[in-house]
Amino acid sequence: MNIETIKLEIIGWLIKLEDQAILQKLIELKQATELSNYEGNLKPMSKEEMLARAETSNRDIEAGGVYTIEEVMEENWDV
Amino acid sequence: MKVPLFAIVLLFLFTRCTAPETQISPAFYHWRTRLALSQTERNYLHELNIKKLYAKFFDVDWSESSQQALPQALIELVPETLPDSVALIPTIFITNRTFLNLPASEILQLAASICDKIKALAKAPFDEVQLDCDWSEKTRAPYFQLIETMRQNLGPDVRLSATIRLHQVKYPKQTGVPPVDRGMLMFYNMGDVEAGEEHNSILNLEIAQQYLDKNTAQYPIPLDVALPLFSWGVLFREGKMIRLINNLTAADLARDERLRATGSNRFEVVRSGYVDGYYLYTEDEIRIEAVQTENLMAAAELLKRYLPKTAQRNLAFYHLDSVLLERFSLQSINSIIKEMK
Repeated sequence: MNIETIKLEIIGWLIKLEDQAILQKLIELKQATELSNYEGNLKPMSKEEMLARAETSNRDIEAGGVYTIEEVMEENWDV
Repeated sequence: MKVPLFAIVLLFLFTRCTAPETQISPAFYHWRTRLALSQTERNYLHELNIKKLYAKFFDVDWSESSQQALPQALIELVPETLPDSVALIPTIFITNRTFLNLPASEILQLAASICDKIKALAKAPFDEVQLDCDWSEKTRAPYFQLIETMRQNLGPDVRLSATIRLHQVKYPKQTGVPPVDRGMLMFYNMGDVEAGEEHNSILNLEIAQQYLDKNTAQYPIPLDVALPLFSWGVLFREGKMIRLINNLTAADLARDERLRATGSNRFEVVRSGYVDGYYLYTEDEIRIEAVQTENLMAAAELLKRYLPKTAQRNLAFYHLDSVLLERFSLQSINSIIKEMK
């Protein structure tokens, strides 16, 4: 089975999926993947910073513009 | 007056014998959010006698949604995986847009917040903090003010260091010198990654040479050096650079029938499909950029000639990751360290 077929099968399954717990786990998996990509691309250089922003924009568009990766990653100053 | 040949030879030998070697303290950067070192990574730290790990504790970025500077991607420490002999140096990456947006009246508070967050995350004493910000003319004043405020907050027992780019070493008067104890010269990403004709933007010694001259030795603060171990594929579509694919190697692509080699480090997609999780289209082009041990040794030799003399210099490799270490044996890293002496 090639990757395109696998993706179509997952999309078909996802459309019918109603289980909130599984959906939540999928969201967590998506965020963990985005975190990994973020780390991989954000190196200590301005050009990379710019590229990471471009990557973020791409992901944001792909994700439907609900949350940006920065918002997902944002913390606060509480200690 | 004629000087006897043997006297010249003796003088040469004497100079060679007495020129003091710089003591090189090898180190690594750790740039992932979860700091849980693998056995391989621990082994490298041990065998290379590494005493310092520059660990990214968090990023500071401007939040558009809350209109304030906020920390991002806080480090998750797994202390039992870190050897006792290795000191963590909290390293904070601050985006330029933080300073472009931050009101001047909030710099003191941001400095205090960063210091408090570092102390809370470190869970152990630390004697150095490194700041990483590619400051510009517009952000220099607030960045330097933040550094000075952090110094007051952290006290005299904590040294401050800051990352420095090549152009900042060449033009210290124009770009300013950060008010820190030491600078870390980031000796990589010196080329133009977006240019199609670029051969290797990660390490290009011809470009580096243009930034190093007799004035380099006059840089007013001691300089440490960071050298790259990473590699990536630069993806071009219709001539425009659109993405970086980390850890991609020429060997990976050479094995893929959907790609055709067009040069020593260049490939063209001849059949659309997924490569390393990314969908590539026919006629996309990939340039593989990587550094080899001999490139890093040449870099070390070049730096040794130009950097300000110092009794001790930190040499940090970017970055500690088992995948990257597969391409660099202990012996090769040791040879680079020796070349810097």
